[in-house]
Amino acid sequence: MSAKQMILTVMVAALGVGAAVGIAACGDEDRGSLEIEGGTTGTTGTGTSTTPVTVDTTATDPEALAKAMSEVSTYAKGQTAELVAATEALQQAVDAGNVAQAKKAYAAGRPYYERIEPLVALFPELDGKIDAREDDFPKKAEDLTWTGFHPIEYALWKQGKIDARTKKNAAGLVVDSKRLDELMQDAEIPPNVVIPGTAELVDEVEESKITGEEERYSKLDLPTFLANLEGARAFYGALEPLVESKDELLEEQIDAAFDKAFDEVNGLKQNGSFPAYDELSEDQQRTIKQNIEALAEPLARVQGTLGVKS
Amino acid sequence: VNVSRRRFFQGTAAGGAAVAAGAIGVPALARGDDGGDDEQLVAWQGPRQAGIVTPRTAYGMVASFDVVSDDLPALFGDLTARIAELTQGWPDRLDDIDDPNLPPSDTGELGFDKRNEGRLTITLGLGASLFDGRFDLRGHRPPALIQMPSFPGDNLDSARCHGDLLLLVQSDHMMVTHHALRDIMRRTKGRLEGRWAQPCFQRFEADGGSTQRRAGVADARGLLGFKDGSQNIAPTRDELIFTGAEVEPWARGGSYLALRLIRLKLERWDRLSRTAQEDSIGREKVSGAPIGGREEAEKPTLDKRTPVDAHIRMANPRKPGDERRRFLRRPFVFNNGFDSYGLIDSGSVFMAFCRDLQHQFQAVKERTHGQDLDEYMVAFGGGYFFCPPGASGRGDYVARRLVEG
Repeated sequence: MSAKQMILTVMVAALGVGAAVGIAACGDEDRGSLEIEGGTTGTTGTGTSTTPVTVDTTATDPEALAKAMSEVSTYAKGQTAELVAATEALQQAVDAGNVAQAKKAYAAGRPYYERIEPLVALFPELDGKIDAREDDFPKKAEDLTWTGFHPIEYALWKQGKIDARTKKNAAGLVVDSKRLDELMQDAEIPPNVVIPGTAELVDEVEESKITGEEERYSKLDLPTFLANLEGARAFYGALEPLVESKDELLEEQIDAAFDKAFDEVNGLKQNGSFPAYDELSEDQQRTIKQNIEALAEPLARVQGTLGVKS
Repeated sequence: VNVSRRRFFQGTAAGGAAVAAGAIGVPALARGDDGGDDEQLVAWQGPRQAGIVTPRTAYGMVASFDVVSDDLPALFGDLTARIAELTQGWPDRLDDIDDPNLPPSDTGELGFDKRNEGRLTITLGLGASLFDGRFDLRGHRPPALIQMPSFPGDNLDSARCHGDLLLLVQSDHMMVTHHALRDIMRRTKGRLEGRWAQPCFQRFEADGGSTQRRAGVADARGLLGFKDGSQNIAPTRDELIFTGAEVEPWARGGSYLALRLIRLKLERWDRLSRTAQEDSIGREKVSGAPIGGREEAEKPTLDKRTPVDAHIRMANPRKPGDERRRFLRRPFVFNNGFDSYGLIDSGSVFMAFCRDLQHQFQAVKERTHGQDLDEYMVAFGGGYFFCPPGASGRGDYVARRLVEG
């Protein structure tokens, strides 16, 4: 078995299909198609269909992929433009010394960043400036090199005050957001960043529980999760027709998983707004996790299905 | 005199004839005494404590304690005596069994036949807090022994960090390992207070567990599915592992241990493409060869095919001076079931033995900050410890020259 076939087999095994699955390389090997008899769709399985499913893992037409990437780029630029406006509003409230207003502006601004966070990896120094957590700094919260959203969050929620450092950070956040917006205008958005990035956005949600990276002072975890999911769906939306043409079942599975995850998170709203994350019951937290995982698993197969190299 | 201490010395007297030349305190049922499998017993005495450079075992238990007794000579004497007995075959396991009015001296889960399996070792480590003034040891702290700092990206839980005393128990059977911990705990009640413990395990690929290393070839894989420790140093590199004249006489021939309990984000890792995983480590998953290389044992060329933030590049860029930063790794993995969120709670028990914590482990840890692999791990516990030299000579015990002053 060639290495390529082995990988394909492993991938197919990851579909989570039941015992009655036959895997056969079909047609000419270079096409890289696999026929799965009786393929079902794992977590959102639809039973015991016996229709052969064809998974085409040849590289996707570069033009179609480029078009999808340009859609992602347009979406990202929309978000960074909004981010600039939102951080300016935050700076105004901070400069005015208005803690309550600043908290609102902070909450309003976060989603624009969270929706496109994986693309900021294209400009690594900016992610560190805008979204770093205190754990990454030797002196933790006291560290003056800690900048971006989170020292402001710390000042507003934990300390309940605005001082010179907060003002400096708010001004710096505007500068960095503008720089991000500027860089995004001409950035080439490569598929091998967008596709894993889609999965990363989804992973962020379960990630936070392990690392304590949640919005630990503002407790705005749920709006952040929602923004992560919205970003992921926007990225995936651009790729969806391509995925559908390669593997219809996968497309259906992801689509259903997105719907379910959105329903679940939105369903937590009370009178139109989200409760603090730590007010959720353990059951509610686990339900979010279940839905996130059910989405993350099929999303992890998109890159291979589209034949996009890492 | 404590029970185990009394038995220890009785055992020495009764078993004197069977004791290997030059070794004191090896109890009566020590190696080879009725044709048992010698390879299953690891000598406990000698210039080095067992468990540092002796062959690795399939199971381990790291257990941290706070010392609540003032009598350190008695504590370390008894601990050493019990370590000798446990690792050499538990000679007293039948004592008191016949007296229905006494609790059995041995808890019994290993049975009551003569035992010599499992290659049990028990290594003692001292935490920086032991030198904090409670025991009049303040002036004798080994210079590199500090409280383990919280590194960027760590999420340390104080209930799972540090401690006055560490027991590193290793053997080829979880029951043997667990028995040793349980036994020592019941014999040190009122003197040692358990702080945290982490059971751990490992599977050896090469030779079914004897773990004889070949240079450049890891004998096991970690939970990420990659060879773990391909370029580990040889256990004979004393100059990188054991202290010398730079420490006080009592501490010479000891080794510092950086112990880190690291949770791995396995769900995320398992969703990465093979290429992304290989780029993160800098090695091929199946063969263990450096990216672009042919076999595991070869020296990584670290050309442009190896990403700048790959683990093997950042941990050892192989520049002048890097050689003296290397240390001996002795890794295990762990599983603690599921976390409260339903994710698999597994990771690495990272152990690095070195001659100097700051110049070796800590220097390497600091320069790997920002490696891609950091995305998939977070340390939640552990600590820095100093493992004193081994006990040797009549009446000696681990850390004797420290605690007797």
